[in-house]
Amino acid sequence: MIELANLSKWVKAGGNQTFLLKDINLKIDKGDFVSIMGPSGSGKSTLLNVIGMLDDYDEGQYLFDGEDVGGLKEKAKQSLHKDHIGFVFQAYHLIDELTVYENIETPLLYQNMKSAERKAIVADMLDRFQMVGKKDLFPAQLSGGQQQLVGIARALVANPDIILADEPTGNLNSKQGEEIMDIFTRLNKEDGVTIIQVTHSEKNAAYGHRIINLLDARIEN
Amino acid sequence: MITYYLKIAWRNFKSSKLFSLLNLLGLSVAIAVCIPLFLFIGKERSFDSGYANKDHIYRVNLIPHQKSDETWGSVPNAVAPAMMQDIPEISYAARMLKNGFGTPASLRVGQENFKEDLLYWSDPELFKIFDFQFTAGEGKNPLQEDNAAVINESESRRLFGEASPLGKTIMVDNGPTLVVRGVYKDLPDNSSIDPAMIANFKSSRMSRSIYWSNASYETFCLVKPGSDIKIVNQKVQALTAKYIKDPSDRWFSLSLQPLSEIHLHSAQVMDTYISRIGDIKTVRQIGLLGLLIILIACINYMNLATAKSEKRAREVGINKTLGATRKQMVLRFYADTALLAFLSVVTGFLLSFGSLFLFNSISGSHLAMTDLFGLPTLLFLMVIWVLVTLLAGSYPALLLSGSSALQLMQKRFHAGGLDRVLRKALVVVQFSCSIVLIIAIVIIYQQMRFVGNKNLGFKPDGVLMINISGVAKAQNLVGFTNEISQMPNVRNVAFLQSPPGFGASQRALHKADAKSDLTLYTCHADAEVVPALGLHLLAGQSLPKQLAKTDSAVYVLANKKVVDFMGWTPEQAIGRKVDVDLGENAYIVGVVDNFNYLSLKSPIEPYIYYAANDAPESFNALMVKINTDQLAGTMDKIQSAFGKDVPSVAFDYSFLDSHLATLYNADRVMQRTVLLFSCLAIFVSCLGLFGLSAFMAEQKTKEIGIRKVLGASNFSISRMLSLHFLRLVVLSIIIGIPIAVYLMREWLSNFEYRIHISWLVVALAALSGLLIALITVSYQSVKASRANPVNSIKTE
Repeated sequence: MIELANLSKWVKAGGNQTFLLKDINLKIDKGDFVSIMGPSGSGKSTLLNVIGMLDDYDEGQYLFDGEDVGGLKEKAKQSLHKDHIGFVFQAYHLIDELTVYENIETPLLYQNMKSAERKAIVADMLDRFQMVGKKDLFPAQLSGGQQQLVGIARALVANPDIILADEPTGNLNSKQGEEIMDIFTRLNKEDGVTIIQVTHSEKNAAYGHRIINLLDARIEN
Repeated sequence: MITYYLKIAWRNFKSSKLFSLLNLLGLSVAIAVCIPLFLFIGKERSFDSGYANKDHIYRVNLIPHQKSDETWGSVPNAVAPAMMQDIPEISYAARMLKNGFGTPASLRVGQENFKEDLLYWSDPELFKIFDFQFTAGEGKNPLQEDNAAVINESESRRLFGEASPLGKTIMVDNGPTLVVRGVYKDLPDNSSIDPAMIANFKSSRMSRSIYWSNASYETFCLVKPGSDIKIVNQKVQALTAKYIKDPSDRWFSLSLQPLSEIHLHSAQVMDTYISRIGDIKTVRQIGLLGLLIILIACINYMNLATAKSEKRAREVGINKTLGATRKQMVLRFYADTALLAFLSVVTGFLLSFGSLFLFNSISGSHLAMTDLFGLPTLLFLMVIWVLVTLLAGSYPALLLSGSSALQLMQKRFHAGGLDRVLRKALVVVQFSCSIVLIIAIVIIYQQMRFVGNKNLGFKPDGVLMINISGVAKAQNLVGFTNEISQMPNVRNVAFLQSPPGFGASQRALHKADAKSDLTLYTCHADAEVVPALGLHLLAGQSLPKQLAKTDSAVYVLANKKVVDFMGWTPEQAIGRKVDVDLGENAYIVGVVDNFNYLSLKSPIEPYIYYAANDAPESFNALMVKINTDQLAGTMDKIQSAFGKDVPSVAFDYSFLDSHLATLYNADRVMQRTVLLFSCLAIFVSCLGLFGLSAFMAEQKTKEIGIRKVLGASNFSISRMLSLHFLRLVVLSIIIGIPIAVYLMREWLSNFEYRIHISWLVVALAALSGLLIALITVSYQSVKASRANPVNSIKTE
């Protein structure tokens, strides 16, 4: 499903070329659960952003479902990512001005879905995450763990094939973290959602089928 | 989707109350100001558009050869008949002569006297040119009889109450008796011609001789549709050559001015009876000022919105990762602005009831409250809504939607510093405008005070002017003048052809050896003119008190300009003969110092008072110099004496000083309008500055906290924050001063007598601008500097 071949990304600072990613070769199949680990600055988040098409790369090839992402126009990339990818962030990134319900609904708005259909899907999602009672609260009224649940619900609502999670448990205590990991595991097993997560924690990384270690912009073998 | 955008916009509006309210206030004030201006401009532009023949009506103007830069709105009374007779393209032509060349008429109806300012003597053709709507009488040809007159509905109510005026008689100035043959609907406010009463020209004294010399007759004509106006114009110009046999008597040429141009493009046209005169320059200036205020309010919005954008950026970033397209994000920001602009338009509309009232009282306009509900106003508000949304919303919309999601979600989003530079530039633009306006206020105020206090060369205070043009013979007044002269509070009583501030007769001053003559103004007067007006006698004495019946001499009291031109000293001039177009025997008996007989906008030219038997001009005014200590009592006595001694004429009076003040009415309106606008513009600018400083303080909370932990004092922190803005204000001052000085020099050049722009005054005005900015900014700076550093560091 995702194939990276000799992919590199760099920045130039004062004449020096600094690699953010170097010669990345990576193949992720449908239904995989991958954990990316590595020290700070090793390029984990950059790799995730490139996979999520939020960031560009300078060299190499990225095939998504067999399509060459490098050759796609901005619009095509956007629609690809809109239809297939859900994001979960360390800092949750909920929209402060919207309620729980509205936050979850937002991706569907951008899919131009009809109101009745949206309602059904969001209601279903609230049910699944046991947040029906909280649907009218604003993010500031929730705990961190609850906010992240909303974040995951929002990532899932558009029914993506892949969830990209950037340290999803980074701001949570261990019990909340476990809860999130259980959800990911269930999603992966029961719904066949591909999950790629970046994490610092060995324990959380172990939830994945395999672990990719990054060091200084390269994949360590 | 749009409801979603509006929902977010509304919640944003509520979540940042300060910014929203500042924006709302600024925009709605700007809109409230613009609505009356819009109505005013609309009305000015609508002038004379109600007449059915509006596209084919022309006024005949006159250009004197001697002063070819002048245009007069009136022509000799021979022009209209000649046009009708000679030029086939002219359907009709009609003269309009204001009674007594502009002095009010005294109407006698039964036993009552009325003063009438708007009596015109005209030809029946007038009603073919302009469509009057008759509500009584035979409308088709109401001036068929020589002594016929028509009046408008208000005049009918004033003179006759509810009774039908048809067939009733009105005696004008103790002369001709007219019969009312029709009543017409009052002409609309936006009509250039404004007669309350129109009498047949044939009954006027001025109809007895038809001549090509005296140009005092405003003349309108109706050109046949489809005629080539260029050719008609040429034919009109050819009339002088045909009818004035002696080429040396052809002192003018004629030209046609379309009716549509009369209201706004005739500010320079002299000698017209039309009093509702607009000026395209004023319309443009006012439009510009209105735009300026809207612009300043939009700049506020842009500034505050981009300042807030650093906070909003994250949200846009998230939306982008959730699949929002650029277009959707642009729409979202426009929805944001549109909501605020809509609220502002509604608030502004409500405020406009107040601003309209204010505008009317300041400018003397009569804009109606009902106009606020008219379609044009609604369209205007729609346009403003869209315009403000586009103008104010574009920058944040395009800036944020164009950046990538990843950039936007970074902790601190910078649009490459561009937004900061732009924000500074906008603040500078805004404040430069404010500085220009502050300087303008001060200079206009100074000039108006200068005009008010300038020594005019005579003393207008305590001089009562009584209109006596309705009195058939000056002898009839002897009883009256004798009676008031006895009153202890009356010092002098002088007879005059026209008081200072009114036009006098134009003649020429001839010098034997000189090639060119000088324009000279002459005014028939008597001996009392010197003490009554407080003129300063340089040599000789005033005009003689009594003239022997057989005396054929003309006695001249000249101003200094006259003797200067002749090359005499005042002393040498006494007793000399002078050629002033008043016959062979004109002698100078006295010389007075120059005085401003017109407004201070015009230079002093040669001017004489003269006394003679059988003078060509009659007396129109009595100048009564009074002691104003017991003004009310004195006025009562004078009025009752007038009523007793001159029962057939209305007591029409005014005070010379207040009449002179009316010469500067337009400037005073300008002064007040600029003052109001400036205060509002400065207010709106300050709102923006206040918002920005609040935002800056918020942005710098962490920096302030760190500095305080490192030992900075409250004062040094508030100074740091304030200085940031003051630099911009100083830059605005540097930009604003030359613009202001340039504009004010232009304005001052309208005045013959004017102040010099003092750099000290300019500097003080600029300094006060700086002070206003400082006070605005320092509130937030001081507040931020006082905060507990622990709290401020925690916010990051």
